Amino acid sequence: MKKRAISIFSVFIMIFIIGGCEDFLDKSIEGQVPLVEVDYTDESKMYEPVSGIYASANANNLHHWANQCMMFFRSDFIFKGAHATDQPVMEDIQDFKYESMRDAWFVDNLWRAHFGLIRDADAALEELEQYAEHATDQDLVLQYKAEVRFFRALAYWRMARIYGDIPHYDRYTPAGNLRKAPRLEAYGYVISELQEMVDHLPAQHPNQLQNIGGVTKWAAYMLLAKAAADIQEYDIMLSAAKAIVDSGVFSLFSDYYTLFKKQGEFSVENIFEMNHTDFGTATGHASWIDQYYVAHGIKQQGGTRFDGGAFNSGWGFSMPAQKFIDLMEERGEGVRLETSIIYPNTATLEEDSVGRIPADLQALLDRYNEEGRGVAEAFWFKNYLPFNQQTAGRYRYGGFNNVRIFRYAEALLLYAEALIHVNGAGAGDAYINEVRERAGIPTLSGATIDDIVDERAAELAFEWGADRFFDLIRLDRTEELGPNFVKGEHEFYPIPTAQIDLQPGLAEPPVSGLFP
Amino acid sequence: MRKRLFILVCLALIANSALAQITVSGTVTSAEDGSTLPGVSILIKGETRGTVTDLDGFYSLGNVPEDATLVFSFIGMRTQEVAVEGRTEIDVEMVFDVIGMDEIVVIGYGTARSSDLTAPIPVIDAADIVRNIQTSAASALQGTVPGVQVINRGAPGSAPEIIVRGIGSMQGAQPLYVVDGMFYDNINWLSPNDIESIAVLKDASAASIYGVRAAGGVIMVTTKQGRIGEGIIIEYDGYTGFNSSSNLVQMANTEQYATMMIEQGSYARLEPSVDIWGGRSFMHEGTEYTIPATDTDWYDELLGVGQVMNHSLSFRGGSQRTTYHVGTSYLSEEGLLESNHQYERVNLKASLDFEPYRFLEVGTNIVLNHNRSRDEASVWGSMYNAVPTIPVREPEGEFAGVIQAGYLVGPVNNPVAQLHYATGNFNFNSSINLMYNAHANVNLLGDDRLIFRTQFSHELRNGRGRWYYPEFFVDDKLKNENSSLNKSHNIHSSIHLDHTLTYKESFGSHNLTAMGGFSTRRVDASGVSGGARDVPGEQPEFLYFSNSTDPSPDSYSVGDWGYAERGVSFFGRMMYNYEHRYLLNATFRGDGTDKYTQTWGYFPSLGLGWIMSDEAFMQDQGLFDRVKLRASWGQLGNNAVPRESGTREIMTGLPYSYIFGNDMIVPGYVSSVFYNELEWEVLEETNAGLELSTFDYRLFAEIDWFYKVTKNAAIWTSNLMGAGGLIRNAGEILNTGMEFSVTWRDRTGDLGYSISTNLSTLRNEVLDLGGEPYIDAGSAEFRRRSEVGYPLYSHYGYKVIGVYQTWEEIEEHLDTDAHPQVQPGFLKYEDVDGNGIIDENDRQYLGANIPRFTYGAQVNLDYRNLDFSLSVYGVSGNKLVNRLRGNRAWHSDYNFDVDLYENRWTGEGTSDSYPSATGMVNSWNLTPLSSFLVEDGSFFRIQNITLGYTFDDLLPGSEMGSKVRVRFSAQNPFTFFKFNGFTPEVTGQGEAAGVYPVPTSFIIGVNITY
Repeated sequence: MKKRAISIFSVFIMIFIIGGCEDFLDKSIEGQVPLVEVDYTDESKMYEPVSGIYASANANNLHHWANQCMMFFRSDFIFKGAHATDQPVMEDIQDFKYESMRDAWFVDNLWRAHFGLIRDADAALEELEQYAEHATDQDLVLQYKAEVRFFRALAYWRMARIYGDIPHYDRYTPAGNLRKAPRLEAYGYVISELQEMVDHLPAQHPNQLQNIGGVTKWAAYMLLAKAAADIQEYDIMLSAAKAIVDSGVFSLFSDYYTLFKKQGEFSVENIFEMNHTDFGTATGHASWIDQYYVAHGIKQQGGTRFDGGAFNSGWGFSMPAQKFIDLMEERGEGVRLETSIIYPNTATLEEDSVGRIPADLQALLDRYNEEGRGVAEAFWFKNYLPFNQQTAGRYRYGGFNNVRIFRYAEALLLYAEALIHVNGAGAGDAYINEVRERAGIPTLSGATIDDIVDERAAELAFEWGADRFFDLIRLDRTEELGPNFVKGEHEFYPIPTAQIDLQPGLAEPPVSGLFP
Repeated sequence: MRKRLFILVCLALIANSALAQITVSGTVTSAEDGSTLPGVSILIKGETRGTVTDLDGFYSLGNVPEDATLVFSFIGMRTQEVAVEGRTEIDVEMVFDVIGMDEIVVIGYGTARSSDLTAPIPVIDAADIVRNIQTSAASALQGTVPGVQVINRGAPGSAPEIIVRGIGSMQGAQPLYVVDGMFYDNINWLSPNDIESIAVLKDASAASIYGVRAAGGVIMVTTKQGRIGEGIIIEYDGYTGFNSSSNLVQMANTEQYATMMIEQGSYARLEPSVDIWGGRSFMHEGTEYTIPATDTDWYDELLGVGQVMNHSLSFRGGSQRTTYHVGTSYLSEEGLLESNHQYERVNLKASLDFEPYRFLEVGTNIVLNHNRSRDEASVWGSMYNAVPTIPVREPEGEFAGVIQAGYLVGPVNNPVAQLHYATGNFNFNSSINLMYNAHANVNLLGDDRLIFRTQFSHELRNGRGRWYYPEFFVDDKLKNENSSLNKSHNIHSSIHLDHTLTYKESFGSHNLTAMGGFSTRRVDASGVSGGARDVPGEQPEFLYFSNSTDPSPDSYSVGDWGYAERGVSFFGRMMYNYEHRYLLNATFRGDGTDKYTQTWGYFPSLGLGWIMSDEAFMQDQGLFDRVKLRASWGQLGNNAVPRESGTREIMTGLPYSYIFGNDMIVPGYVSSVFYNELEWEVLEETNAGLELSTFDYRLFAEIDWFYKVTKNAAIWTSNLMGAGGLIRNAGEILNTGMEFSVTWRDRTGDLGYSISTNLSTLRNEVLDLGGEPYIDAGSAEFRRRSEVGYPLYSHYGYKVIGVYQTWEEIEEHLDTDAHPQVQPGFLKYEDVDGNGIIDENDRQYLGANIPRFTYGAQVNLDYRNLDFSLSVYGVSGNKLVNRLRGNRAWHSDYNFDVDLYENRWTGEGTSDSYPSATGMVNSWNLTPLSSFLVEDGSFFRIQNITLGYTFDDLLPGSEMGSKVRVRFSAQNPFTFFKFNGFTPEVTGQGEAAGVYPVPTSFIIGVNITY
């Protein structure tokens, strides 16, 4: 009997040992092919991390609708529309009441969108570094890197414009140790990056590239000119703008109205745009621009499409100021005013009919006017995409229209402005007039910075750059922003509390020498 | 040949043991009143043979060895062991049970006498489990077990959240359910009628035998088994009744809503509704307004009564060598809304045990479960948001849309229409589960000293789901342009193989039980799912993908997934005592897993106990009948930590590929580089306890203190810019508290009664965060922060110290240049740094959803055939965030609850805690979080009241005497709380938005034992 016990016991021990084999525990994760190491020797795939960065700029929503709200509502030309009760905190933007902004989701959203792109760009550069070790065409490596660096510079520039002093992101910085750097150092970094990369980027028109709409030397010069303008480095601004104008690669698109419609995608005038498309099909993969257009689109009631269907309204977040219309009318603007705004109860050229202002929006506009704000009873129209240019079944308020980032018209105005700064009034006449002629208004002579400010307002109204507010800041015309704006206090948004919570050092004064 | 020899040996053994055997008979009576006791179980100690007493309390048992010991046991009575010593007639008097003394408690891979334990292991028995009318039997733990917080969920078929001795992990640690030796994540699939008892291993020294999965405590479920020699017992239990909602939040009607709008200066907001559906005159502060004539009470429209019904039928019994229990049951539970929401459960459970030979016992438990639920859209949030000025339907009968009334964006909606379209008649979620085990006990030395047990357990779950979302149009906001059909199918298999060897020996006064074991675990699961657009949905027969009218391949989608896990464990336990007076228990477990770099984890525990009352110096005192002191220490692991994330992630596919020139997709990828090497969280707990019995064992009291620290806690540490995070073993979290329970049980004449109460305290504190200043959870507007020195996930924001009554008060308190929008009637926040500016530096900790106290009490009375029970439960000290109110930060035109309306500030001196109507929609009062939205989550609940009457021998012909018991029960009839939400029972970190309330149920039930 003892023997039996022992034999059973040994079976038990055996099971113990067999089952205890470590092999049993050596199990791969279900459903995941073990990560195939990226083959850095395959040069044909070297563009993949670069394409990823273009996509990341879209995925991180550099053109999130709420970002545009934050950019627009500070200017003297745009008011916060929509329902009074929809994102009520945004009303505070137009009065520069920043203290309620700190905790608002959209302030943090804006921050994350840009630093998310910076993070991805840094990672992509590390990837390219690995390809570079095997690549036969080192110039190509430099070009690809430059494309990635362009996006990183774009994000830093926007951050410095919006928040002033900003940190330099380095993923190897220990958590909690991040500090802000002075604004000028951030600009210095952006400028030196751009100056270095221009030589590596292609010199063709973006519509001549194999990757149509990619980053070119001219996009980099454009960003360089704008960044230099922000910090009054007019020599840099001048040479960058001159390079674009002298290249002869770009010209103005003849029709200002259709420039912003489908006909204007990848046009002669476009220096850089972010591409979006639904491939002309009602279903399947598409690159949608999210709510960028619809949020600011026409909020109307009772309108119809060209084909008689119901007019899919926008949310009406951005409502033009009467001041803008007055300025445009005083200037005798035709096509630029008609392209920028549309009145209720009218029809578009494409025979989409716009209905009336809904009661709730009307109530908001009435209140604004009681408060003496001077809001117009008109809608933002520039980014309106006619229904006959949208794919039936995917009416998303033009959400498949490219976002125009940089246009040649602005390059001309930057050049004219730089010439005036450097050589005095009248020095930029030729270039400002080129823009005016296309707009169908009389030419000027002896144009001054004041003319530039107004010209930029008329030409660039309601576009992605939202330059009006920044123009008034950089050219010191802040009195236009009304009595609520306090110089030295309201130029920059506060760093979002959520970010200070993550990195308490961001609440500390800036530290010099953080940018490479 | 060898086999034959083996059988011969066995036969010889049986013959051998049959040598000196006699037949013993006698009568069992109650010591209290001398009445005979039917149904008392009599077992030969060390064997599984036995019998039970008949109606007259008489028993007779043959083939009893002359030197055997008989064990007499009866529910509610103290178990007695009587040595036969050659006698053929033995009469026994049974006394009422002394609580906490001689119960046999399941402790994981074995059992032990409760008096030999060194850790607190509370047990609740079948009566308490069945009384509780909720889907999951685990809900019965609420209020009955100190140290265990049960947060019920109200939706039919949902499982409660169970927190054992506080939250010790940021990764969540649900308790491990062990049903008849097999591990499960919940016990929703088990019919409460099939459960014999539930024991809770709440202390680390008790739970550490289960190692890496036991960090959330272990809930041990034992299902019903037959008993040796008891004949056939047939039991039917059924009830029916209804569920309804109680404690509703009163919402503003049109007049009240209009008043708020007018006072906010948003009167125009009402005009579209007046234009469309008509208006009526309304006077407010001397001005006449036209307000909407519509006045919809959405609760009235949506809330209904749900029927509940349960039937269960079981047979159990045992002959000399076989015992069995077979139970079937059906449960149907309907939801609280006017929809088709329903949960159904059908169960078949069978337990069979055979003892073919003295040295071998084999058995099996089988549960077949089918459950099916039809889910609905969650409208608890939109019900609160919906405004009273919108009718349910247009005069023509179709649902009214909200866009025409100006509600374009945000969640203001027509919740009736929402519920109507999103709850398809043909939708279901069903699963068929088969759970079985087969086990064998081999008595190696023939005398119970050395037992080898092996158990094979298999859990097979087969889940199916179908969701159909029809095409419909209410307005541009509430519509679905293309119908969609989705189906899923998945299968889950989990196999455990456990082997244990238990050795039991007494050397004089030294008693030793040693157990060693080995276990392997293998989990495999996979599933497929698919979808199609534009499938006609008039009949369920149409619901196939092939019927899609959309020919494009894009209208189809498919997906699949898989999951696998392997585990190997070995474990051991030694229980030693000297005269059952000095107790020493030690356990050890090693767990190996495929999940982490660190494959193996080792978890020890040690417990000591001292029955002080057995000492000579205690013999002369008359105060205490029994005093026991015990202390224990143990470690547990938590493998709820996510699987190790790789060193690098490459994201590919269309979202990471750019489209150049409108038609050229260029493949792309985005890489992110993070490193982590995760290990298990380790939980270390020390427990000390005192047990007292006094007043002739009528009163039993137990006090425990515990100190539990989670070391190596896996926490998300921030990456720069909040761009994702990295999980590291860097934290340390403390939970400590006291647990008290007191039970008084007595019987005088025909009246029997017992009163039990328990109270537990809990303090939760973060001890270390690996250098991180704090860790944030929740959104920026509703921040929860974990910081060293504060409870985990504390609400974090401004503290309201009043409401500004006058402009002077504002100027005195605030820098009005910095805060120009503040007006009288706005909330006044504490300015912590006193600089007149309210900003992030003025935020403070506002409490957490962790109750400081939880308590419960049960009263049971029986008088002749009448019985009555009452149970209550309460928590206090936890804080909840009222997200329904807080959501106004994003969309301020939601409806208001009446409390906000009635208490609003309307002028100097009217309120010092509620803002004015204008204030309620101003960002100053809405964002970020302030203590205005952080409310007390304390509540007190009458959980269950049951009144029963038993008819004896109503049904003739029963061997054991039939019993028919009729009962009326009210479940959760009254709940008292201050929180301005649907229910104070809120799971997780305490953000209450549209929580499905726990229903109030009234039932009538009948139980027949034959």
